[in-house]
Amino acid sequence: MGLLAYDPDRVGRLHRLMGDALEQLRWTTSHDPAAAAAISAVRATATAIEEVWRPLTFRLLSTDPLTTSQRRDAHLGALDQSLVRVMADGYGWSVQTDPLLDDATVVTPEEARALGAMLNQVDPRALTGDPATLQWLAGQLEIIGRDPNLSRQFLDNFHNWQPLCNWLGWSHLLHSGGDPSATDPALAGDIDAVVAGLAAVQWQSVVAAGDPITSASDVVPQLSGMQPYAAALLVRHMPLTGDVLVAVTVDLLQRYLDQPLTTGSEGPWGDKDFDTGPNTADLLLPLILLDPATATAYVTLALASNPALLFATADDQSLQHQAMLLATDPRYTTSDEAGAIIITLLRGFAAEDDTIDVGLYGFDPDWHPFLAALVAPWLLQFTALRDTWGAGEDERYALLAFVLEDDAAMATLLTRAQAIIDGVTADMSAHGADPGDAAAMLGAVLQLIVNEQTREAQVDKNQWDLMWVLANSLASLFGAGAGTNLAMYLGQKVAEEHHLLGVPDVAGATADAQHTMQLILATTAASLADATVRRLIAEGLLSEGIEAPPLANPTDPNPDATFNDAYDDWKARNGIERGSEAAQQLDEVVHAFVPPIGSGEHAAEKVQT
Amino acid sequence: MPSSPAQQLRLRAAGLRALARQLQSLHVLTLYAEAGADTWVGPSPQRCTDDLKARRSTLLQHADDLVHAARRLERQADELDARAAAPGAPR
Repeated sequence: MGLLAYDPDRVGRLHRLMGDALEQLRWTTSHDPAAAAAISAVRATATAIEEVWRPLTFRLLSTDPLTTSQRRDAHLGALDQSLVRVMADGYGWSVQTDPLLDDATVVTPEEARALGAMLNQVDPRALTGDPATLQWLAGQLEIIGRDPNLSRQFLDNFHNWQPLCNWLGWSHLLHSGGDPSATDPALAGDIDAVVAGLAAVQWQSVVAAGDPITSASDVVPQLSGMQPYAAALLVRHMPLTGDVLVAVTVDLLQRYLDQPLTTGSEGPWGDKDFDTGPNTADLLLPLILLDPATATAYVTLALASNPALLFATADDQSLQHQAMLLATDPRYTTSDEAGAIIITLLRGFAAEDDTIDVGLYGFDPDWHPFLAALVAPWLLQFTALRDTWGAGEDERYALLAFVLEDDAAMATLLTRAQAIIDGVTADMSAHGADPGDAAAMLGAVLQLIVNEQTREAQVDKNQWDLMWVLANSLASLFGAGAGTNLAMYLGQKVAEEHHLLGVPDVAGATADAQHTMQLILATTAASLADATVRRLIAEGLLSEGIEAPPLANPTDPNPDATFNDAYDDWKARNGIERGSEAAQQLDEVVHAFVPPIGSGEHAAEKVQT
Repeated sequence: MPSSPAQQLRLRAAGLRALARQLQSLHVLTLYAEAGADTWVGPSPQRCTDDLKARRSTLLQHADDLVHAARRLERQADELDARAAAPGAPR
């Protein structure tokens, strides 16, 4: 319901003056064609006064104002009647229902001031449960937030940021999943719209001040008493970008870590008090993810400030993973920038002193696959062929081994094959295509797989041995005598061939893995040899009738050495002379993966010390 | 009664200047100040104030336009007089 407040005496004077003005306008006339437009404006003015504004004043003067009880029925205490209430209660003005329709799209400076004052007194808990008022308030704040003057008028009278925003934040979280039984996206949206309006108003103040923004307190009023979640709700509606967004985000995430639990009080509670629903980081990280450079700046600052910001703040940890992956994505980041982040992260995880607290793993159960995804585009940087990232060859290899010791991490690496290829391609475009680089990377990963399969077999063997030790010990305990060997009771033949009982075969597992590795390298060399031959034929360096190069033999116990022999024989049979251009080009690609016997190390051994 | 075209133009110019002065002194031009927040508040009072301010601007602009039109007519009258006074002009 639209209400208006007025001073009866002054409205009476206005009514009389309107009459005088109208009389004067009626006598203002001209028949000159050059005055037609002016006379038209005079007539329109007279009509507006006569038909709209003077009847309004007349109606106010001729109708009794609302009584106290009528005002109550007219919801004079409602927020949308703030100014009317202030003038009626504070100045003794009369109040009537507005004869003309209320226009919610217009906010006057007086209304902006009154709304600010009323919001200081409103019961925020009741407000957060009143969708109609929330929607109206959001609309008014949006209008005010678009206008610097209206914003200033509002802010001059509003000073209860902390209690209002904390209740809005608490209620928003409650209806966004914090309390599954109270989930109400529509109401959460209404609350968020009010916060967006408050943010727009506050942003006008920030812009007007023109001060540099280096922390959250530069944009969030009364931050010291505000829940980080409430502050994040405000901040995410401000047009913050780049380093400013990063500084504010890191500040709020640290405040999240530092905030005490408030559970048990009457509220409003903070996001730390909820086991479900979004939290401060979940609100802010989507903004960080909009820009790769911002993500890089965020991860770099968080690592330097407190690594826990990256691993113990988000309810949805995949957002942090996305930020770190984006920050080190070779499409947007230089090798040195990515390396600074990746080496710091890997050192932190691998360090025995818990630089990145092992206890935090509970918050990040997917950290192994995440680290695998992190290193996937940069595998070449872990080989001996690159002297980068401020870490020695041995340390880089050890860190890569640490990442890939987990089955899930290895599986992740396999699913990231394209990222690996993209990374190698990008690196080679920077350093020049070299088959040796690709071979070294492939060898490094294969050797890690061999090592991991050997380790797993050894673990199985240890467990198998432990079972027998326990059984022997128990048998001894019940009278079988010290030094009893139960294997004696299995029969001599079986005891000698434990594998019939399923004993893990460590040496066999290692041999199998190494055989697979050699076969993969030989197969890769064979495919590259074939491709190179076709290219050399096209370039006229080899004749078209040449025999196809040999294939790798999966049944051979030493597929790489056998392939090498077959390759040399093939060159001899086909007249590819040592030292010729064709031989040099073929050897370059083949020997990168399968070095000639006696020439040095295996491709995989290049990177293993 | 004016007898010549130039005199007729000057008479029209005088009428337009008088009308401009009338517009510049209309009571309605100051009415917005009486309809402000010292008198009443609410959506309709605000619209009333805004409307009166807008009409004030419009009327004052028309007053300026009338003065310019009067000057134009006076220049035309002067040109007619000058042509009539030139040697060889019909009398």
